[in-house]
This record gives sequence, C-alpha cells and structure tokens, in this order.
Amino acid sequence: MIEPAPAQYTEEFEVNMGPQHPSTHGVLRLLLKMDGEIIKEAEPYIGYLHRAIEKICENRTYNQCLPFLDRVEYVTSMSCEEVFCLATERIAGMEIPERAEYLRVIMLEFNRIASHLIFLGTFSLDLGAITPFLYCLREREDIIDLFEMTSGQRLTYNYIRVGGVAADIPPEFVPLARKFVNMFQDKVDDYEAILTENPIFLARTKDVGIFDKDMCINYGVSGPILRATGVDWDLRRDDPYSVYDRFRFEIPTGKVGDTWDRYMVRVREMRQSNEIIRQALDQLPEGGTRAKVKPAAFKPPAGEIYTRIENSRGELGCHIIADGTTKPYRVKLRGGSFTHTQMIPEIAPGVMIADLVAIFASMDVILPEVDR
Amino acid sequence: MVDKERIEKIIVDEFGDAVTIEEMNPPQAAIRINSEKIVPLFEFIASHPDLKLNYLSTISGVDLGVEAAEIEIVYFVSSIEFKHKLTIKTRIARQGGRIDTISTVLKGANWYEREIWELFGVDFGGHPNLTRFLLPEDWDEGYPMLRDWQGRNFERMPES
Amino acid sequence: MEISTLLRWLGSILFKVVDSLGLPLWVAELLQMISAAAIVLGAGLLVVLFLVWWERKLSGHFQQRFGPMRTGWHGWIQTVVDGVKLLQKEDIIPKTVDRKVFFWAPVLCFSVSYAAFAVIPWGQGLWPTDLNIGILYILAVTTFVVIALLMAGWSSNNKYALLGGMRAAAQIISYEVPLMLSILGVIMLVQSLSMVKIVEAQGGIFGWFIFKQPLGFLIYLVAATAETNRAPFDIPEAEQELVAGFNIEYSGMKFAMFFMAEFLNLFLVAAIATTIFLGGWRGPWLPSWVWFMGKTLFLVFVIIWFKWTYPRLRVDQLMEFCWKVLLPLAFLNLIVSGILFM
Repeated sequence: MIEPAPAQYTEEFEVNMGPQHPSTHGVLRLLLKMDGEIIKEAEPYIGYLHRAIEKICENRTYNQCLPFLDRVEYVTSMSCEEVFCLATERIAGMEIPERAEYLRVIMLEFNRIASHLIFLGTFSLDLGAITPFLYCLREREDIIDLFEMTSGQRLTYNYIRVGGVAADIPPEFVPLARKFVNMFQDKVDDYEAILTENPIFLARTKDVGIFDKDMCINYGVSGPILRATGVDWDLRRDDPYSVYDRFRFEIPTGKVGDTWDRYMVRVREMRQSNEIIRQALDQLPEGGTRAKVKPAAFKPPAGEIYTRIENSRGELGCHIIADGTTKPYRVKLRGGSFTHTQMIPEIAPGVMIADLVAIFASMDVILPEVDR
Repeated sequence: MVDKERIEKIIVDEFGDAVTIEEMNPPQAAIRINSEKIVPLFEFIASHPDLKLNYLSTISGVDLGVEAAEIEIVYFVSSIEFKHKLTIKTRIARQGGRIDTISTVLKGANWYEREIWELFGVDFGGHPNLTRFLLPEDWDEGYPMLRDWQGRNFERMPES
Repeated sequence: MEISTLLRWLGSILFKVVDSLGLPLWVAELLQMISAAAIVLGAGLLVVLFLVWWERKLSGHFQQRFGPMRTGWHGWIQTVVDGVKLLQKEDIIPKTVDRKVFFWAPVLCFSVSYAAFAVIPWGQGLWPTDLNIGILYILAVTTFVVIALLMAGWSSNNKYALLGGMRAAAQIISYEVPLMLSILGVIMLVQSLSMVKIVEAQGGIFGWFIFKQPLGFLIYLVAATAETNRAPFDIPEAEQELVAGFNIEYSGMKFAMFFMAEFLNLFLVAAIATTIFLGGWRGPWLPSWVWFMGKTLFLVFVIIWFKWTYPRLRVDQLMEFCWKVLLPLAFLNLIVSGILFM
C-alpha cells in the first residue's frame, strides 16, 4: 500500500547576503528571510566601515579635516570637501574668489558625472550586462585624468579647501575638459543604445521597485531617487550655493518612481551636468583661486550651521559647530546613502532576490558614507 | 516660501511657552523646544498648511560638555513644497537623558535616532529598534561621541 | 585534405597489425573504439581550450580592451596556463558537504557532455559512430547535466548553491521542451533520427534546413543558449544574485570540470545546430571538417555575442518566456511545417 503524500510543507530560510557579496557594493550585510526566490523580510546590518570620522574631525583643525572627509564618500570626494568648506565659510562669513567658485562647480559636476558613470556601470553589472561597465569606466578615466592633473590625486582629491581651491588648474585642463564635454553627449547616446530600450533591460526595470512619493519624503529620501518619483527637488536650485544660479540647467524628474525612472533620471542628469560644465568653462573668469586664510591658524568665529549640497546620491549635509578655536566643536555628516539604506526593510518584502539586487543597485548606495 | 519670522511665529503661537526663538550665527530660522513637546511639534509642523515641514534632513546630537551636563538634539527639517527650512533644538540631560522618538511621525528619523542612542547614550522612548549598528556588537567602552570619552589610544606608536 | 581518409588509413593499419599478430578481430575493434573515444576527447579538450581563449578575447574586444595579452602571441597559451594552475590548486572540500555526491557531480557533468560527442559528424565520414537514433541519444544524454547540477547544488550544503541548483534544474528541464520541438520539424522532413542522414538530406546551400525551418532555428538557438546556462539566461550562476550558483563551493580541478563541461556544451549545441540547420559539413571547395568547424564556431560566436550584450532575465521572466512564448511558437512551427511538407 502506498502511503498518502504528506501535505506540502515549505520552510522559510535565511540567507546572509553580504558582507562579502558581489552586489552589496561594499560591505553591507542583508539578512534575508526567503520563501524560495521571494523575500519575506530583509534587515540591513551596517557598520563594517565605521571609521569614526565625525569624532576624528573634532580633534583636527579645519583644513586637517578635509582628507578624512574625502574618505566619507570616495566616489564623489569633491562634494564632501565642498559641503564642509561651504559650512565653514558660511560661519566665517568668508567671500571666496570668483574663479575658485567656478572651478568648484566644474569639479563638482565632473565628479557627479564620474559618480553616475560608476552607478551606470555597476547597475548594468548587477542586471547581468557586463559590457556597459567597461564603457562607463572608460569615460570616467578621462575625468579622473583631469582631476589627477589638477590635484595630483585620482580618488581622494583634497582639492577644495576652506577659502577656495588648493591650486589653479594647469593650462592644458581647459582644452581637455572641452574635448570631453563635446564628446560626452555622444557617449551617453551609446550607453542608452545598449540599455534604455533593450527589452530585457525594460523587463528587469520597468515597474520594478516602485517607490511611493509620500513614503520617500517621509523617509527623507533625496536626490535622484526622490526626483524619479516625480518630486521636483534639487538643492542646486532650491537651496542655492556656490554659483549655480548663473547656469541654465534642467532638473530631470521621473513619473512612476520605478527602477527604470531612477536609471533614466541619472542618465539625464549626466547630460545636464555636462551642459553646466560647458557653461562654466565658457564663463570661467580670471583671478585668484584662494581667499587669504592661514591654513594652520584658521579660526572661524563661534557659530553653527547646517549646509547641504546636491550630491550625486542626494542631499549631502554637514552640521558644523564652531566654538572660536582652530578645531570644529562638532561635525555631523548626513549622506544620502545612510537614509536610503534604512528604506530596505520597507521595500524588500515581496520582491524576488533578483529584483532586490536591481532595486538596491538603482538606489546607488555607497557604504563608506553609510558608516562614516 | 514662508520667511523666517513667519515660521517662528506660527510655531510660537501654537506652542506658547514651550517654544523660544533661537538666535543663531549665521542667522537661520530656528526654535528651541521643551523636549517633552517634540512629538506634538513634529506632528504640527508636518501637517500645518503654511509650513509643511515634512522632510527631515538629519538629527544631530551635540554634547555640551561635562559642566553643562546636557546634550543638545538638533533637528533639521525642510519643506519640499515651500522650500523653506527650520532648525529645531532641544536639550536633555547628559546622563540618562530621554526623549520621545519622532520616527512615528517621520520614519526617516529611525536610524538617526539609533545613531544618537549608540554614540551619545540618549534613550529614545518608543523607538522600534534601538540596537547597535555602527559600533561592534560587543562594544562596552561607553558612548564615544561624548566630549570626555577616552578610548584606548590606538594612535600611540609602540615605544622603540 | 580530409581527416577521415587519414583516420581510415590508420584504422586499416591497426587491423593489419592485429591480424599479423594473430589476435582475434574483436581486439582490433576494441582498440579502434578506444582510440576513437580518445581522439574525440582530445578534440573536445582542444576545442574547449580554444573556446575559453576565444571568449576572453572576444569579450575583451567587445568591451574595448584586449583580453589576455601576456602569455604568448595575443595570449594564445593563456588557457593552458590557467589549466595548469587549476590542476595545481589545492582541492578544497568544505567540511559540511556530502562528499560522495560532491565528488561525482563534476565528473558526471563533464562525462555526459563528452558522451554526447559520440554522434557528432565532424566532417565527411568523420564521426565516431552513426547511431540511427543519434539526435535522440544526444538529447537523452545531455539531460543528465541537470542531475549533475542538482547534485552539485544540493551536496554543497550552501544556500546559494542550492538556489543555483534548483534554478538550473527548472531552467534546463523547461527549455528542453521547446528545444526538442524545434528539432522535431527537421526530423519530420528527414524521416530519420540519424545525424548523418540529416546532413545528407541538406543538399546545396538552399537545401539547408535553416531556410525551410527559420523559426525552428531561432527557437533552437534561444533554447540552446538557455540550455548552456549562458547570458542572458545564466540565472543558475547569476553572479550578482547567487555569487556563483551551484559551483560556489568548487575549486581546483573540480571547478575546471564544470568549466570544461560548460564550454563543451556550448560547442555541442552549436555543433548540433550546424548539423541540423546549417548543412553540417557540406560546402564547396574546402575540406568538409573546415566547413563544419567554421559554421560551428560562427554559431558559438553568436552565442558569445549574446552574453556580452544582454542583461540577465529574472527567473520568473525566464520561465514565462519559455512556456508562454517559445513553446507555443515551437508548436506552431511544428504544425505549419507538418502541413506544408506533408
């Protein structure tokens, strides 16, 4: 006699995704409770890269802090320097030379393009398309070369300083930058040709990981993710800093807030950044590049401010309290990635593991900034 | 866009004595609130039709030192719709300080509060998940962001 | 020059030697069988060596880089060097694996891929054996790959490997169905399952079955890409999701076995497609084996091209595509060709 088969019995199982996993972009650990391919619960664990940069900054002079801030977000180190310098200059009420402002804008926008290129590469890599990654790194290499000839560094530049920039650009910078700017739109067309309308790419990204507008605001989400949900919010225009009010640029927004929108917003942002650089190169004035500050004995008056800039990952903020000495009393950094990572438990349940990888990649989280 | 004075006035009118206007250098819209009123304040500013301060940038903790024996919690909120911003400050005791969580109003506050709990030792009442996440799980050397915290001196080179 | 002439000559020498030694005839036949198997194995391994290098070079050039350049002229010896490295590697067997199954999975995987080569006609008169159920034999034998992958995934005692093994099983079994149906159209036309007969039925360039069965060819190509677990259907080893899927715990020579089996399979599906749809070894002027290799390598190139161009499908989309698109199309193809050529 054949025994009747027992009723179907399934069991959830736990998977540790990370800290060493190809698509956690650093050292994030996701503890997934899965039912087959579908995620029931996800809990992020961070802190593998915590270097106590906020504490270190309390014991350093203002200019000594900058190399540490580079390492907060090493994909766009320029913006970390910019936000710290901006806060310090606002406390000190310091005017910085016009040329330095323009150089900062050029560097920041180049860095935004470089960062979005990294996003585009790793995003397509996470979707299984390997070739675009190499294409993106090829263009990023050109930008890195420009940074290298200006600051001597390829990743952590330490270029933007309190009161201006560390050095003027070398004479061959402008022609090379122009060459890049003129060719870059065509290159973006190339990336789009291989991805944007590709049916497999569309199947993997359209209507996958739709973020609700109100939920995003409630979580404090910013940057391209927020814009992809249709919210027109860009700190370059809405909380102006530097000389961004002198350039014409559009702020791309999405419609649905799905993974494809987040990709598209970033691609269009690269084109806009390119146009900003073109305008900045055209308008670049002559003059000095650094206000008079004594680097070692620089003492801003007592004051407190929270400044924020639009970084490639959203709002990058810096809360500085100066107490009239050469060292900041408190430095608090706010990065987009930290805020975005805490959304994972909210968005993960019910999606498949492959989709979680795509969604997480489209959020463009960088872990050093989460842990600081 | 609502200007600085108007924002402060709306809040002072609503909360009366619990709120004072804070003068900051450089000037910014800022208020100081009694720590017990923090949740009603956030509920109010997030829903008030002229304020709509529903976007939380971050929460920063500041240790005011051993003498003052207080910790300042600084909230930075802004409005996506009107594009204005506000700094909210409140103070609690340095030892065993306790404040209600605002993560019930703005979910994004969850991890910021968790970070302050971990690094400053501030207890957030009603917080859903106060567990370590930046420091090692077996950390027992106190709260490192306090000004008088002395950790093991990792920087010292071995005597030669 | 036809290799088959050379081989036949060598075979006749073998028979003469055996005869002069006064040994019975079956010894000669046995020796002939063994040497044929050895020749096929050697050819297969050579092909694998070449394909690994070729894929690396191709992917390099697709991505605007060079690929291997340091070892020999344009890195042609790279695969050999890698093979030697893998042979020297420590054979790591994790503590918690099921040792027997863990050991036999790569062996099975490699041997079934190799076994399928028994009926491939490499050129005019150049086939190890001509089974009258040749194509059926290939399909039957290669299905064992599923078992090997499941064994690997299950015995590794690793959740990623298990998921990878499960995905592999689901995918390969599903795509087997449209694959067979797409071939069935040709078999109906030829009225034979023998690989040699199928080639012989395709006279002249327009006699190739790709022109009589274009849809069947496309379905076959897609299903075959999925069968070999290659992008855009490489979900069993999807690196970004499952790290390396079923072969996550394998290292050294065991990993190399899986690796070789993958490339053998790649060559195999291209060889089958050549035989069935592209007229096999037939072609003017050049020796037949050159035509066969040329056509097969071209198909391999196309499959490699897929891999380095497309993103990966999701596991449920993959299944949907198989059951909702490929399978109805395959049936349609079958019905239409049945009506047309009756």
